[in-house]
Amino acid sequence: MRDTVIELIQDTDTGVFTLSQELPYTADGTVLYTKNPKKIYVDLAQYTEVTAIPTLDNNTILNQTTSISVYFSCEARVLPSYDEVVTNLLALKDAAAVRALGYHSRQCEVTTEYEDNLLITQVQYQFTKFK
Amino acid sequence: MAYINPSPGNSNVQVVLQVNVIGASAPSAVITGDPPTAIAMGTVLSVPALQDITINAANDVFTWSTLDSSAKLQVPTTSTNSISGNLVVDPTTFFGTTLTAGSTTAVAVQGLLGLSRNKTRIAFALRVYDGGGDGTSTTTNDIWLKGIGYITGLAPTVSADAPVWVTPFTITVSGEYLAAATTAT
Repeated sequence: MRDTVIELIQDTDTGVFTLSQELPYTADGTVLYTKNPKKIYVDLAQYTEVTAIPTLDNNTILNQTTSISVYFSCEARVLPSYDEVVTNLLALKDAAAVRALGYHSRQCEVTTEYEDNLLITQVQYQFTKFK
Repeated sequence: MAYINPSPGNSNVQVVLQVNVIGASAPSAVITGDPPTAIAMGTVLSVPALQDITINAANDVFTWSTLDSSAKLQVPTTSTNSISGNLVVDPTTFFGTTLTAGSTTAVAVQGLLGLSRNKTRIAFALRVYDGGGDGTSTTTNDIWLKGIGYITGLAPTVSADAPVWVTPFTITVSGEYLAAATTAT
């Protein structure tokens, strides 16, 4: 699923922000997305499975939720095409490539926080399908 | 004191519901006696993905009063028997292998919807308890509840919040339940 999100972001207008293929790990005590502003990092997918419809045999239907976080930062003083980028990233949850994978629930949440002069943005996608 | 825990997903002890059309010989279910004293189930359709199941065996009650008693007098009369429950719609077992199948075709061909549409008289067997805990239908101390009836009460539904087809079902039982240790007799 991470590959799908990366491909979708590559095909999306992200303005001055560029996509990194690296994971958002911490180097020298600093996470990459604060070390390298205006670079978009896609984290590994996290999976949870919970019972959606219990049955009396082994045909129980599960809800499998895939969560993927995308991070980027930029200077808080001047926001370069920020709204447009966030809007485009939000729209990715309903992209045809995602719908084709059979997810019946597609959610996206954008949260921000400040670190010194940086505005850090986290875009979290949650895709749920039956398994 | 013991209790029955059908452990969902454990094929050795889980609840099993089988249905079959009735005929003179296998693979149909074969009925012995009238009223039935034994049912050999033959080549059955096992109903998958049951969500819940209820055995209804409630007697009707005849009630009367007398002038010398402050309480009503009652006796049980005949019971209305049925098996009811809910299941997840499986395309193969629900619709059968032929959508327009008639009532004389095999149970797997008609599927549950065909059995309902054709008002096909069926035999059913419900495994309540697997005495051997081995999942076979031949253990002599298993408890199978059997009978003759009709599939009714289908009402498949789906919604945006619950996008999986599920349906209630009822086996309207005609006559008595039979209890047996195997599906063979």
